Amino acid sequence: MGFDPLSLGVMAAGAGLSTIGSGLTAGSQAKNGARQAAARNEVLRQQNAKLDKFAADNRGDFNTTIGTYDPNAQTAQRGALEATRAGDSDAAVNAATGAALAAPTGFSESASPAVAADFKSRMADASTRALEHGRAGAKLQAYDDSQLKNDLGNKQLARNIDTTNNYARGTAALTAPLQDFAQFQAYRPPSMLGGLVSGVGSLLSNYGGYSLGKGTSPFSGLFGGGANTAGLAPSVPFAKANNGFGVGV
Amino acid sequence: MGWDLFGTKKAAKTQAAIAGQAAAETQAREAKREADVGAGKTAIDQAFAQYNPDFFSNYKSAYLNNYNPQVDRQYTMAQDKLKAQLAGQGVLESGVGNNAFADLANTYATAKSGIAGQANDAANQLQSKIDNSKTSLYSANAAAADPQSAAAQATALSTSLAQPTTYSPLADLFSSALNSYGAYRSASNGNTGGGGGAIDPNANGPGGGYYRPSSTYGGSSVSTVG
Repeated sequence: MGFDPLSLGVMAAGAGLSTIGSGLTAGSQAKNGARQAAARNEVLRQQNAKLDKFAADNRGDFNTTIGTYDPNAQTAQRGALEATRAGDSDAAVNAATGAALAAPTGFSESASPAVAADFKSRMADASTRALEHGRAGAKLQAYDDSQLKNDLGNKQLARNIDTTNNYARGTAALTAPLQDFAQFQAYRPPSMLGGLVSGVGSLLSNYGGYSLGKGTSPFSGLFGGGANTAGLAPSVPFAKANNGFGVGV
Repeated sequence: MGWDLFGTKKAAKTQAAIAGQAAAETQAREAKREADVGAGKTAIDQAFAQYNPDFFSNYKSAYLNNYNPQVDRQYTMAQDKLKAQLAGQGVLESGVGNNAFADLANTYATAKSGIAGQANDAANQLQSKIDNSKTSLYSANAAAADPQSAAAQATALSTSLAQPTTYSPLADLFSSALNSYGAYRSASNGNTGGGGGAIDPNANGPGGGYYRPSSTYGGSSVSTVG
């Protein structure tokens, strides 16, 4: 029993070419996929870099604000606010006691100098009491003033962060569409070579198998040669089996 | 391979060009939106720059100028009443009178100091209101992303905030001090020792008005005038 080596060779060549063609196609597809993935990743990197910058800006603003909460800074802030209030209070008290001292009390020329001196002394005491009262109030109110200043700073920080996050939200929302655009730009149609090679390989495989089944040489018809040059008798069970099952058994 | 048998390469190039154009337009629109938000924020900050320390200092001055004249007028009237009371009792030029005037002056000075503190409180409240408006505008700016619209809103709101508000008049500050003195004098008339007879707080003639100091006013070294 023997098989036509040419038919077998053609079949083998066809199978080989099919395999090579498949490989070429797969390779082309893999390269295309890798190119598109790289394009999407590059867009993602760029968008993430922008988001990282926004985060860094926010962190900088936050650190600046939190720095104002340093205990020494808070003490200095409170002291400055207390000084402002105390200054306003002192000015008001001095204006009032000055006016009170200047207002005629009805002292007559016959009033004793002791009474007049007593009047001035009591007025000075009254002024001192009012000044101390005002300064104590200024010290107390400075705590609320300082808290207000802290709150105003916090609100400005929140506004700045919200504005930056507005930018970040816009950037993040565009990431997916930009990735798609980049993918489309990176797309290349697959090479036809792989398909052609596979096609040729399939043709050869099928032809080789057909020739093997017919018991003829694959090239017999091409050169006008006799039939059955493969030396395979029609009565060979293999051929009969081939008649039923086509190429190969 | 260099051929384009079925036009697939050309189609892919066209798709790539369209995708590139779309990407560029999308990024340009986002860049413009960010620029609009940033410009709106700048417009708001510039509009609110007028609310500086000078603005609040002027506000405090306006507050003081509204209430201090009322205090001054009340003090002048209270002082006149006190003078009349003391003169009627003959203790105008005395330690009693001095003490009463000093207490009245203390009440006056404390009231003025209190108004100065209230002016600071009112300025703080105004500053908080203004800051709330600024926050509202930041939100509107982010939503609209239209710098011209945000600037127009900022100008309108900042102008309305600059209008002065009306304030209620002061209550009577010195009546309690004068009433306390009057009550003391009434009580002292029933507790006087030496000098003969009860003291009429409204007496104007000589001999009236002697009194011994009580613990209400403290101190035992108050001089009296005969």
